[in-house]
Amino acid sequence: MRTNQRRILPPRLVAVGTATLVLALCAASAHGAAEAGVRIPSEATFAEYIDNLSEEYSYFTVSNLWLLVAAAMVFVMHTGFAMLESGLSRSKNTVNILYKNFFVISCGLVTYAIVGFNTMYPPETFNGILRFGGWFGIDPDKYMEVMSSRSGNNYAYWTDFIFQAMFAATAATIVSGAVAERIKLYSFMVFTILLVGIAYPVAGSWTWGGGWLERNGFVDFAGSSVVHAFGGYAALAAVLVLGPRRGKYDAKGKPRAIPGHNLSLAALGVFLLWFGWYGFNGGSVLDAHPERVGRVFVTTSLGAASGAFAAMIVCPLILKKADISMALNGVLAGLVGITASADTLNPGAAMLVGAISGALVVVAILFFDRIGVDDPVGAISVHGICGTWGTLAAGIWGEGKFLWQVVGCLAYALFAFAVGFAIFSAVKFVMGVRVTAEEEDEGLDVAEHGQQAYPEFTGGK
Amino acid sequence: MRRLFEYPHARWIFPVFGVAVVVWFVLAFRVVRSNDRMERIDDGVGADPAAVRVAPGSSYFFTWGVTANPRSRVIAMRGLPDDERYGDTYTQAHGVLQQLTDDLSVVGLTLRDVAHVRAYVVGDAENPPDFEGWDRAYSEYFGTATMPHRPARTTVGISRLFITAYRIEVEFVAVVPDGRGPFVAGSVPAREYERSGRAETNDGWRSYGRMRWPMSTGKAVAPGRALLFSAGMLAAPMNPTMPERHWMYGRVDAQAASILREGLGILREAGLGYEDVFFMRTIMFPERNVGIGRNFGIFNREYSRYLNNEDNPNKPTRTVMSAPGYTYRGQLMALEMYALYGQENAPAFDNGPLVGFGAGSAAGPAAVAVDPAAGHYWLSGVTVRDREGLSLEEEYRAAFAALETRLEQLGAGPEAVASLRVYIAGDDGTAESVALWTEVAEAYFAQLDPGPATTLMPVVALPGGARVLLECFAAVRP
Repeated sequence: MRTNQRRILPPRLVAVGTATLVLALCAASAHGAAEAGVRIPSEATFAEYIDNLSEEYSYFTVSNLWLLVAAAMVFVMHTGFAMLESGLSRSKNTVNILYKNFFVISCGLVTYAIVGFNTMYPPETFNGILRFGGWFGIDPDKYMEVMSSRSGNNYAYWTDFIFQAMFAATAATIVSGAVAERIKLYSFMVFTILLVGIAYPVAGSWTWGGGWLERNGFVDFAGSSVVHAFGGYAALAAVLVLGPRRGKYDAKGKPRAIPGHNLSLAALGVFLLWFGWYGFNGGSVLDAHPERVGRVFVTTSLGAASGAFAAMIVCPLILKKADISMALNGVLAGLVGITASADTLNPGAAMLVGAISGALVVVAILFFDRIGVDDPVGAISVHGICGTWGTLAAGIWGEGKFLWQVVGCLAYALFAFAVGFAIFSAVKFVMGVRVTAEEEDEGLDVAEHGQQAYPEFTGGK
Repeated sequence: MRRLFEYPHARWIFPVFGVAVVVWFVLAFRVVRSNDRMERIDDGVGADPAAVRVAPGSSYFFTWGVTANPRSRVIAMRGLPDDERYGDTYTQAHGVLQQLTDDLSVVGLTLRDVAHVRAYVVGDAENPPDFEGWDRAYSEYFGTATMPHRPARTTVGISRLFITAYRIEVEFVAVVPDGRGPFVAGSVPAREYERSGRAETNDGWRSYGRMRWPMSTGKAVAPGRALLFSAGMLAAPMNPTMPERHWMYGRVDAQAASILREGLGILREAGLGYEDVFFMRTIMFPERNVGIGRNFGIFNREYSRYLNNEDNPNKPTRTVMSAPGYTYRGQLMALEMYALYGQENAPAFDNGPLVGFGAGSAAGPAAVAVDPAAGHYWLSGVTVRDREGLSLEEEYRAAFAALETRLEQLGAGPEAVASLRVYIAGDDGTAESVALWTEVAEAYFAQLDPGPATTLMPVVALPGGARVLLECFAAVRP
């Protein structure tokens, strides 16, 4: 048996990581102490609240509940991502993929609480470009206000936080798929923390936190650019720095197919993603408005379906075979594309947006494959290219102004690419990003984790 | 250094990236900037433009007066300290501008489409209005790298807003660009509006905001409609022949009734009714030991005899605030209205773009109708810049001179002024200032026909310590 219990963590990283964690916990506990004075409503006031339920409060309660359900559905999307990524990669890297996915969702939630939420939604003043926020605590004087419909929102503050935190982790999950099978585990972790903890909330605040793009009328309903294209272009930068998997390209630079090990899992993942997307888009209404949520469900479904449809037509035309992974990516492409304008499109336009996404993704995957960008799950094409297309479509058939949609999606693409490139290069410089050739051949499961996902099938080392 | 870049034949990404940056820069900072219906006219003094010119036949969006927590319905929350609950002026201004951004986006507009900003900053003798805080917040929204547009702006210091802790209230007048907004069939705001199933009392506007509220948060006005601006209306004296300084205007309910009756008279004379009023600004003058809320409640009782009832379901967009005003002589409130003509009943604008109705003050008619075919000018507040050693009367005359200079820059004269709001402040004694101003203004406007609908309002303070500020809306035939 190989010795893979060498050093798991570089000592430098341990020191930095520990220091960061201690600081974060100190900050959090300090805020916790400050919050001890929060006037949590007593039983009597809640009884009063229930007695006085007006129509407005009933609506608030229903909307709040819908948002919580939607948050849980977005959480399910992470299951979907995990299944999709593991299904589309080789069995020797399964443990690694699952490990990374659990890390991403955990890290996403934690960093979002520590800095992300208040950076993305600056609570008070905001110059429109950047304002770093701290712990997501509440001003005690405003407690009841932000917990009730008096805030003007149809959700409580806690609900808002958890819904947005589930979104945050999504951006990093996208990268995880693109860099699968060759990235060093701890390098990926550091990269994720910086991307999801700092870069994503800053970019998100431009559109959703009242930043400069929002002030200029840029429209991105549930995050075609804010979440998906951001993740997609960060992934592109990471893949360029990282390089392709060994054996992906032959000596002449011609791409070879490296099929995934379990397409059932991949299909399950896409089904789960499709399901979760109803929460992703439907919850983004931030309201349980019957007509709007209904419309979003319809446009989301039609986008996904016509995305798959288009991919199922275009792929056989180009590849001469009915490739299931292309069909799966067609579904996701349709979903990503429709996300920017799901609340405003007519069903017909939604189908058009989804269909163009589905066709686009097939072409984009083949294109990136051809030019030497090795993306095992097609994340760059699905999330990056189709995210941009969806954002533009919001300016064509949706309520956005086309030129500002161009400015906005360029801003996201460029920012994500530049930041992703900078962070990833820095990580590469400090700790390296790529496992050795032997480790890669052997599989990251054994090399990085000393475990196997399917020991019985591969001889159980 | 180790090679950061593993894949030589994917180097194309860098030129692509560079081109994308250039495209982004050009688009963001050069191309997608302006609202074609608006033109800024700078005079090179200060950051605000001298005026914003709005093309003839434009569609407007009037917002309500937004305060720190506009959506708050339950005002008195038990067990919470009242002061500082909403932060200082700077913080509140951010919340207010954010809210207004949201309100604009509902009708498909952005900050770029704002023509005029009117800000009321709260202060008193001990705590003067924090104009600097408002300026700081304002300059983070307008005139930035990503939002270079600066609308015309008027800022005044008032006594208080609906809640003591509110420090600032802001109103926008925005212009709907071509091909967008609530009146373009099939657009998102139009669909949103149709979805709401509102019934309006005048087909020339569309209301936005929550249905169940007693008012709407904004009114989009159809293009090409004649607007009517009223002068500030005050309660009529109970005894028309009362001697100077023996003022009798009655209690607050009598005053409210008097004002609303007068308003109806003016509207009738102009060929309109309360069904056609889309905007109302109520200025409560503080009574000793009585909050603005009580008197405003009484006003609203009278108001609901005319509006927001079964006969007239009209819910105008509203603004309420409190300024020192005419408390000294027992008048407790003033009211301004903006109303809208239909396609057919608009007056014939035979003698120029303005038509006056009723006898308001000596300085002008009670209301002025504005020709939609004229170009509209929203001027930034005009003050006297160099007022070292000027007496009050000299400053008043200089203010008129400054206004005239500015109008000349726009190719207009004082006859173009449709609506004039005069704010006076200072330590010279309100009664004396009002008397002096009236004298100066009468002489000035005597020659004009019809002259502007004028509101004269004593306020707490003005930016830069000015003692008079003129806010002006003018119309000029192209």
